[in-house]
Amino acid sequence: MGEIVDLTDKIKRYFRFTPLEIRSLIIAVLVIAFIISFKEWGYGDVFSFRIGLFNFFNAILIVALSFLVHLSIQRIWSLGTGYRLEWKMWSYGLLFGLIIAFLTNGYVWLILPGGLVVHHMAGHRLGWFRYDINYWAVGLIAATGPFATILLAALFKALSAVVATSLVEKAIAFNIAYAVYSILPIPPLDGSRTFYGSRMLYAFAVAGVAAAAILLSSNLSVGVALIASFFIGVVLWILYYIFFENRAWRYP
Amino acid sequence: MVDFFFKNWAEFFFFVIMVIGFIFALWATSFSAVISYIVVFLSGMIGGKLLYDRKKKLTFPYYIILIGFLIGYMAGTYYGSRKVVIILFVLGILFGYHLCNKGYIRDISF
Repeated sequence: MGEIVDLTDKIKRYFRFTPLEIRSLIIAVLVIAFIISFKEWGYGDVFSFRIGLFNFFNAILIVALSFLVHLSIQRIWSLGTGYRLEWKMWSYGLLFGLIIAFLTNGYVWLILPGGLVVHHMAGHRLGWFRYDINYWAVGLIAATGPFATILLAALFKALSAVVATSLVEKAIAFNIAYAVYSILPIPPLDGSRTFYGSRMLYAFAVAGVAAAAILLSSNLSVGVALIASFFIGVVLWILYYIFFENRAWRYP
Repeated sequence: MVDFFFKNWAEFFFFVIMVIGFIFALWATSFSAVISYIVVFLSGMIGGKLLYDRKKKLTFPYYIILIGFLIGYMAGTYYGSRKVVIILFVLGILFGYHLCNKGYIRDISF
């Protein structure tokens, strides 16, 4: 109970985004929304500014919600473990995503918005084993982002059974794509932090997210897809340990 | 091989980026000249960011690499004006550099 009160207090005091983060998030949301709505500026080959603007606005809503969930979960987890998270955009990734959108006419979404930086909150880490910033803790914080995005995709998938609109379908597709891109081991994406934090955690995260992405895209029910992807993640995690990690440490 | 790479990395990337520029230009020009101009401007912005990141450090090899991209892009631009391509690339570099220099873009660095 005390830990929950402590976490609630930390969220109240440290959760808010800095002005730089808000500015960076606005830029990233606008760019990614433009990328995912690129091929929807009109009917077929006929350009329509009005339709394009409507689709762009819808894309902004989807991307903003997804980013908010992704970053909030990471932020809450980091506060719970005595760290403060700062999100920074990655302009190379955003510009490259824009170039690829123009080159592929919007058929390829390259979602590389940015990465996280973790700050140590000295007083809030007292009593923790490995007091300072460490790779494992940062890797775990990073891994919560893609998991949250997959859960959001599952939520939208469940919603699509009741309200089947193109907006919900797009939200599912975007969240799946975002989770998959996030888990790639390319600095500064979340996957790179997880990879350097723990190869075992990365093996589970990448297998679980990939399996969830495939199963949520299929016609399986949401519950079955999530449970199956969890077990696929566990099985591949064990196989990774047996066939690689176990041998990697046998001869120092 | 490793020795060659460490001694000649600028020339190596000059060649690689030139080929990428050529492919990008062919790809972009297959849609329209306007798409080609937008792509070269955005590529210039990446170049501007790269030069900003190398501020007060060794920059000459990066100029060589950027020129390599421009040469490749110009070679691949079969539809559209090559003069406009050069102008937009330089403008893109200046714009990208200016955005970073004034602090409008402050992003993650490794």
